[in-house]
Amino acid sequence: MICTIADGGRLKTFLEFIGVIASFAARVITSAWRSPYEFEQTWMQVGEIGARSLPLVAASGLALGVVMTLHTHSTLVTFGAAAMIPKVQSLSFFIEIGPLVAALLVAGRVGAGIGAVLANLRASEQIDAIEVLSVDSFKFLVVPRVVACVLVLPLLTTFMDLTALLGGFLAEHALSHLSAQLFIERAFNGFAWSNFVPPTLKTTVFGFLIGTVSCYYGYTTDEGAEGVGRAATNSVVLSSLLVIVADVVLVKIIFLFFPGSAL
Amino acid sequence: MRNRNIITGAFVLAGIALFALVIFLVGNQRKTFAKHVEFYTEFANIDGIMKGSKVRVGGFDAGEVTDIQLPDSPAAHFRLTLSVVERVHGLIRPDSLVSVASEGIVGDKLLQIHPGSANLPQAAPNSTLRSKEALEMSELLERSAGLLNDVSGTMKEVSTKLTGTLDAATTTINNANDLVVGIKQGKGAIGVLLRDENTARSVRETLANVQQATASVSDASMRADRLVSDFESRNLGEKVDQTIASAQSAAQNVDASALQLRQSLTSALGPDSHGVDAANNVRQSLSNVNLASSNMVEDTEALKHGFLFRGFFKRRGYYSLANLKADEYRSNRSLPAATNTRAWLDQPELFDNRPDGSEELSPEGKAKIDEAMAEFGDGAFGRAIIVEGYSSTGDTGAQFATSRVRATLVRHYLQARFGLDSRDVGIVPLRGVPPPSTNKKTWDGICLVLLKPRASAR
Repeated sequence: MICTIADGGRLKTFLEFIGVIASFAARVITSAWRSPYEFEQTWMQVGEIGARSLPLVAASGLALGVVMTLHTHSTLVTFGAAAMIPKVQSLSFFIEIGPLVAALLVAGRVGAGIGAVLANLRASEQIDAIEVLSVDSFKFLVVPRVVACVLVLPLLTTFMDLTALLGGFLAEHALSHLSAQLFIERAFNGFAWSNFVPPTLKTTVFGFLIGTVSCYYGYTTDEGAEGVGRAATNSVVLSSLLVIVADVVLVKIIFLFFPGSAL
Repeated sequence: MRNRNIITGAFVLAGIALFALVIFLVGNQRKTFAKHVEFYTEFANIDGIMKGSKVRVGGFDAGEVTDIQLPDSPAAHFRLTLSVVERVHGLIRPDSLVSVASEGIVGDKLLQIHPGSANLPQAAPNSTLRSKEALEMSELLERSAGLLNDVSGTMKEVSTKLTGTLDAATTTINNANDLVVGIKQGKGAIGVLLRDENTARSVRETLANVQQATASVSDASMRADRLVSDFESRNLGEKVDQTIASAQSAAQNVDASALQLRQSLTSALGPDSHGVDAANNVRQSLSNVNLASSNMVEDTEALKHGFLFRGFFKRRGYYSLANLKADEYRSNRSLPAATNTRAWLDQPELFDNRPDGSEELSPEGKAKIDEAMAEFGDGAFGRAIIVEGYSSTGDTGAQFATSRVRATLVRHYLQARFGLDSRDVGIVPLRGVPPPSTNKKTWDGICLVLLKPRASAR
């Protein structure tokens, strides 16, 4: 309220921004369901966004798994609960850390890339050229990228979860010579569907947010070469912020529909 | 472009495969892909059990709670649907008990199905299993609080009684202290007694005597203990009792027998109808028997020489082997005949001299006799054997005596060694001169003569 009285212009600008980006997102959704479908572009973006991000996600997951186990081991051993380490590892990564970190990594790498590429196309008037060719530049450039983000994030999240589990096992094996079979048995002991499927599928929302925000900044920028850098930066910042905020909402929604997933 | 597509395809396939793998691992852990059997159970308090809670059968993760029906009144119960894998169906019997358990102190709540009795059939699918209500922590704490209150009350009561007891003990100790002080100061009879040196000396001597007596008694007691232990260990008491009982019984029997014997003897030894007692009668009877047997011998000998029997004895060659005379033996036609089998054994091989000068069969001599009997073979048994004794040293009387002794020693050995009948073994002392039929001028030792079967026929 104070903000509204003191700074009414900025509020209007903020609300206008919300409205514009919401209409942009609505246009993405409606355009995605209308033919013609750009399968080739979508497939290409899956490779660009998904396959190219895999090394980053896998390495991060492995490292995080090792670090997580090292921390939890020293703590849980104090309570004589070392047998809980695999379960703690799997639940924490599958439910929250895996989806969130994978989304943030994709937002950092892909969001900046999408924003920069589309802003560059706009600045070099290539988007106008596409329009001149009677090709829907929105469907050609934006929709495949957003759809690709939606599709690949659950897969990248799965990679992140399993590499983290692998890292956790390697660290635990080095510490206590725990066998792989027993580690897996303990990791999935008491594991519910709601601990894996809803958290993994919620990353489709993260992918949509990352793709939409990044494409918005890149597709709508009109500031020449300077706008390219700004679009990349804004894409990363806003998409990361939206991912975290959306995660809060999505977790509550998951708890609402899957009470058993609440730890 | 093509490589990019390959990488993209690999990425997508790997991602989908890993997603499916996790699905499989979770489903496998939850036994999703196994056949399930459903059971029901009812609880008044489900203690935090919810849909998806684990169900264990005998400690094995066997399924989960798939449904919870809420009660419609306080008197009703929660009705839980349990889905367990069919593999553990054999463990669940109609008397299986379902209880709420906890997975460790901070773990999830779960249902535990205890395996039932082995002699009952399997519980039918969709049947309702018995349940055991969980004991809530609050109820446990409430009971603990009640217990603590009880303990506290008891402790207070004990404390009060203990204080009173201690006061009484303090008073008693004070009184005892006063008494001891008085005695120490020589007050009263005990004080005087303790202060008097003569009394103390007497008491010491008395105590010494008592100690000595006690030691003696102790020693005697120990011996008695050992004796009693020994008796007890050997069970002598009982055996002595049995022996005494047996002895009493035997003595009674002996008394009875002695009485009967006395009566019998009195009756038997008493005077007969002629007034003569039994001893004189027996003595007279024995005298008559001797006379009769002597007459019988003479009669028998006369019978042997009678015309009815003498033919038999003449064909046999002798009347008796018991008393063969040397001159008759030499003149007999059949006994020393050359057709009889002879075994000549000379003196040095047969006899050893005793320290008193008499002779005895040596081991070598016995062996020689055994060899001679072995040469006679089976025919030696059942036929008459005559042992001719020879001695060529000394005068005629000494030769006769020595030859008889040698023949007698050999006959005894033959009877003892080979079990020959005394009627079949005869001896004849021939001094040093063998019968003419033997063609020997002199001999010193023994000659065993096995009579021919015809001559030995009895």
